Amino acid sequence: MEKNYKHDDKFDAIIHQKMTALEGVPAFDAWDNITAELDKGKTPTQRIWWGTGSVLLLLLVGSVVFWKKETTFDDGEQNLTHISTNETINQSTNILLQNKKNNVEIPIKENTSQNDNSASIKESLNLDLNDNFVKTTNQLSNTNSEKNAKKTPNNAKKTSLITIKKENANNPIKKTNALLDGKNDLKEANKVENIAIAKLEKKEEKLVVIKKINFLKIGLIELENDLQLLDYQSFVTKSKAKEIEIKKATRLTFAFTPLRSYKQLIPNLNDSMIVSAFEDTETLQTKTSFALTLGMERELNQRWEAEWGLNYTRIEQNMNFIYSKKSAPITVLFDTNQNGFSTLPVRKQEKFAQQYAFNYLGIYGGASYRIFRYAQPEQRVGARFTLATLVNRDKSLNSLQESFTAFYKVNYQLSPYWRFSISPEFNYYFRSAYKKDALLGAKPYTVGLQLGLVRRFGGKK
Amino acid sequence: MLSFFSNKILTNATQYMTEADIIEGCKKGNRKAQEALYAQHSAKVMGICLRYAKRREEAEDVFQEAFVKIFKNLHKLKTNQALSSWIRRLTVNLAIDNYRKNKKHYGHLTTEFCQESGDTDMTILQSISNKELLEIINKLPQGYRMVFNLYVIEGYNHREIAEKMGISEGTSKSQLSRARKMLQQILKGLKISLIN
Repeated sequence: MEKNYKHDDKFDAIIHQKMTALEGVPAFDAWDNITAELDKGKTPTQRIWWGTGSVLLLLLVGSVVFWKKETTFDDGEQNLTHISTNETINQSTNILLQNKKNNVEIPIKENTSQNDNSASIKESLNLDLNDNFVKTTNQLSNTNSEKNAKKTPNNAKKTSLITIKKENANNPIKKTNALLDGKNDLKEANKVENIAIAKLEKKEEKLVVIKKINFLKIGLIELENDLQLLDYQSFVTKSKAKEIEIKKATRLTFAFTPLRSYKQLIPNLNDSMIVSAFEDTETLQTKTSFALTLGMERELNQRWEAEWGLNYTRIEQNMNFIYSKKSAPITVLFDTNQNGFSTLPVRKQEKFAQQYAFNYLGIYGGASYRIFRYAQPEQRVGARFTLATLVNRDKSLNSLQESFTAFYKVNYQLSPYWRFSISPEFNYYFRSAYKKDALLGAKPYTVGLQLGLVRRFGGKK
Repeated sequence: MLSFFSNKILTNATQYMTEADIIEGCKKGNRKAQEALYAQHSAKVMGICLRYAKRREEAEDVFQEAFVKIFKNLHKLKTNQALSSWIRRLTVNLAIDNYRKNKKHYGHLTTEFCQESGDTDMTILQSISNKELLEIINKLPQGYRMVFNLYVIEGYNHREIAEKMGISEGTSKSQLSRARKMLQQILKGLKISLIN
C-alpha cells in the first residue's frame, strides 16, 4: 500500500508536470468567431441608459395621470363625503399608518346631505406634484386637521363617532356587537370602514409613489450627468488611443530589390527593321539589375498603409541581336558553275550589340492594403508610382521615366521596433528607354523580389 | 520558418503591453488589448480544452466559449488574483459544464480494462511527449478522464470534484483509481510495443 501510494504520487506528479505544460493550437478562425460573438452581444451603453430613462419617464407620467384621476370623486361616493379620515378626526398628530394600526373610526350616518367636507378631502388629496419635495404625512395630516377642525364644530353636531378596534373590524361578530352597541347600521358601517381604509391605503401608496418619483427625477438628472461624463471620457480615450496608434506607426524603411528585366517581349522596335534573331539578350553576365529604396511608411488605419521615399534603380541591359532593314535592296547572285541562273534574295544583315546600364534616381509614392486583418505574418497587396530621372544622360535616351509597380508583401515582426519584409513585385515602365528617333526603342519591364527592413519610431512600446 | 516567425510575432505583440494594461484595456473593450490577451493565453487555454473535451471540435467550441466568457467577465477579476489562474479556473469550470451537458452522449466503461496492473516504469512516462500523453489520457472514458484531470492536474480534492460533477466522493475516488490503472496498463502496453 505504501509502495502504491508513493508510486501513485510520482505517477501523478509526472503527469501533472507534463499536462500543465501542454499547449494547443486553436482553429485559424477562432479569433474571428470570438470577436463576432463579442460584437453581437455588445449594445452601446448609451442605449441601455436611455432605455431605462424612458421607462422611468413613462412611470412618472403614468403616475401623474393616475394621481390626478384619483383626486376626482364620482357621485357614488358623495354620500360618504362627510366621512373623515383618521387624521382629521383624531386630534393627535400621529401619522396615518400609526392611526390605521390601532383604530378605525366610523362616523354615524345621520345626514346624507352633501356637505362641504368633500372640498376639504379633495384638497387633502390633491397634492401638488410640481413640488420637488414630498409633503410629509405629518404636514399633510396637520394641514387637513387644521382645515377640518374648523368645520368639525358644525359637523360634530351632525355626526358622532364610534371607535372600534381594527382587529375587531375583521371579526364579524365583534364588529356587529360593536356597531350595534353604537346603534349603527352594520352594512353602512362596513361600507364606510372599507372605503376609509381603501382611501388611506391609496393615500399612503400615493405618498410613497410620489417620494419614489421625486427620487427617480433626481436619479435621472444624475444619470444624464454620468452619461455625458462617460461620453467625454470615451471620446478622450479613443482620441488618445488613436493618436498613439498613428504616432506609433511611423516607420523608416530600407529595401534592396534584385531585378530581372524583360524587354524583348514588349518590343517597340522601329517599323523599318526586322529582327531575325536575338542573341544572349537575357544573359546578364556578372551584373544584376537592382533597386534600392529609402523611404517611410505610415499606417492610416487597421487596413491601409501609405509609403513614400527615394528610389535608385539600375537596369543592366545587354542587347545583342541581328537585324536587317526592310527596305534593303535584294542582291542577286549568279552561280557561274551551273548552267542557269539562280537568284537568292539576300537581305543585308547587321548585328547590334550593346551593353548598357540605365541608372535612374527618383521618388515614389504608394499604398498597400492588409489582406487578412488578424493573420500573422501580415500580408499586403499594394501599388506604387515612381518618377525618376536618368542619371547618365545620353542624347538617345529619354531622361525621364515613369513606372508603375504592383507588389505583394509579407511582413515579419522581428521585435517591437524592427520588421522584415519580402515582396515580389512587377514594374512596368511607361516609356521606352530610347528616344523616338533612336535606332530602336524598347519599354522594359522588370520583376523583382524586394527585401526590406523597417524601423518604427515613436509611439508606445 | 513561418511558424517560427508567427510565434515571434505573437510574442512580440504582447510585449507592447503589460498585463495590467491588457486587463484595463480588455475591461474597456479595447480590441488590441483583447488580441494581446488572446495571444498570451490561447495556447494554454486550448491545452486545457483538449484535455477535457472528447473531440477536437468540442474542444474548439469550449475554447471559443471560454474566451467570450473571459472578456465579458474580466471585470470580476480581483486585484490580488493572478490572471492566468483565473482564466484556467474559468476554462476548467466551463469544460465541466460542457461535460455535464453532454454526459448522456458519452459511452460507458468496459470493465476488461480495469484489471490490476503492475507499477508503471516511470522512464516510459517521462520519455513520451506531452501530446502523446494527452492522446493516452484521451483514451480514458470521459467520466474517468474528468476526475483524473480535476484531481491530478487541477489539484481539486474528492469533495470538490464530487460537488462540481454531481457525483459522490466515493465515486470520485473509485474513478480516479480506475483511471490510474487504465493509464498504467496503456503505458505498460506501450513499453512492450516499443521494446518489440
